[in-house]
Amino acid sequence: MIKFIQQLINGTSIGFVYALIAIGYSLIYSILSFSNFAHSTFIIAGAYTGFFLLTAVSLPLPFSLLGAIVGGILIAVFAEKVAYRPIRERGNPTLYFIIASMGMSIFGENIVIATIGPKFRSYPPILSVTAYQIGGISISVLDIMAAVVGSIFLLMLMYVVNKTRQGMAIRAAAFDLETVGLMGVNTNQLISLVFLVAGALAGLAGFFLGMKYTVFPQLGNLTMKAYVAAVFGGLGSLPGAVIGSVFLGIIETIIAGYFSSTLRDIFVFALLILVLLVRPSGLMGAKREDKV
Amino acid sequence: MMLQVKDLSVFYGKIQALDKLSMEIHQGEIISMIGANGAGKSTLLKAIAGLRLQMNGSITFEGEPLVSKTHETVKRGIALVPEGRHIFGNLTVYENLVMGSYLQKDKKVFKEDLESVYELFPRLFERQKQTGSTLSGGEQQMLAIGRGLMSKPKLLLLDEPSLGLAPKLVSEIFKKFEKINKMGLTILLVEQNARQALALSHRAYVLQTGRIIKQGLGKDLLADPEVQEAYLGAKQKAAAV
Repeated sequence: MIKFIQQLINGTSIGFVYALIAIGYSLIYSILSFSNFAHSTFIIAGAYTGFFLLTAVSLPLPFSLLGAIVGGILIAVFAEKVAYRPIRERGNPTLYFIIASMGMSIFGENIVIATIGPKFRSYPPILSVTAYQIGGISISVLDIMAAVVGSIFLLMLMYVVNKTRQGMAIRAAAFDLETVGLMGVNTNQLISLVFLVAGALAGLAGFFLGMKYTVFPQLGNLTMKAYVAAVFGGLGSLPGAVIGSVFLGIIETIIAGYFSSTLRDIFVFALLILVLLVRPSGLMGAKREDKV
Repeated sequence: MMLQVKDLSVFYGKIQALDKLSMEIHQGEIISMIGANGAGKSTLLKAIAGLRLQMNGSITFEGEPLVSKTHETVKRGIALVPEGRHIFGNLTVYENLVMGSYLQKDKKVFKEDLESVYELFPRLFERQKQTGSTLSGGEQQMLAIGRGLMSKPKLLLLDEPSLGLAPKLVSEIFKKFEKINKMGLTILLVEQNARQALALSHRAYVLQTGRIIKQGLGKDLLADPEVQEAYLGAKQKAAAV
């Protein structure tokens, strides 16, 4: 039982990190209707920025975390301006977005290998070693921080999307982007805002992933997990992305804990195929009105 | 002159939708643009509204050229009620109207505008908390018009507002256009329902394959034998009998 609770806690913690990635992924999907594979680049931007701020610059943790967020934002907004906006303005088909995003993902990974190097690098052990022991269950400070900071950001996002003018425009754009422009909304600015939010969350996720594991050029490939979670929750649905992510995180750690960690990814992608076969719209993506 | 379109040509790839079209609208008018499907009526509205099109020629509004950016056009005082309504089905009726007033920063003005839209379409007031997708076709059209009015436009562009509506509802909505016009708005109406459009309009243009082939007072065009034959179905009816 204690082992099970332990897995539950570990899973929830990694689930929150997945949620940060999946939400941004879902947001971009809901507005531009394509899967942004370049999301991996936003994650490594955050992970490496955080790493260098902590090691080379020796900034305290909160500032390094903020730096990681800024790193994610800069790459995300830049990618949108340089790659997606020209495609959009030429009126090219959605397929072009997907190809461009794959290109950027590969480019991002390789530019890191070429400049920083392919090595795995460990974050300095600031938080990862400290853990609380409660009745045989150990909870690391990092896991608590990931869950708390992650939830704060997710709650802030929910507030923005549901209560502000820009948030309403994002919800409307998820339904019909062109018509949002007819309302006087500058759609280019709105899309930049969405990439800013997605980049911030991805940068934050990259920082947590770097702390939890290590930093390496392929770290962004974890986006695939978040993608599975987003599809599982219902692509385009924000609550769905969170629920799907936490669920996936828990299932993953339980499989790794009770069976074997080699089975973990096989199971995750089998789940993706199963969801696509049985319920392609996911848990929360059934109704059109839930689309954000 | 409020709006002047001069030698406007629009292309969709190799297909030319408008061919050196020129027209004008004066303050306070109701102008209608009639013509068959594919004549280029909607394209003209899209060009005025600032949607991205491959075009040349000029469009000036109140003496200044319009740029091809929808949000700038809204700022200048032009609202397009698009064909097929395009209301936000995932937002409530109220939220749709808030979206219409996106550029309005003054809360008091917003409230006044909202009240006048609810007064014009009491049905929208009754349904304000429902999501857009649950409305009937007629209610969606009312919402699309109301949403257009929320930006406080000087010129309202209406693209096929009668499409898919029952005849009785069409008459009801056309009566609202008269009311909106009396409120001080200038209207450019694009319609396949030529008879009702001509009856409502001060002036009208007849569009065929991207060119204006006839223009005149609404009532004159209604009486024009050629227009009757081509767009009002006078001859076809006789032939059918």
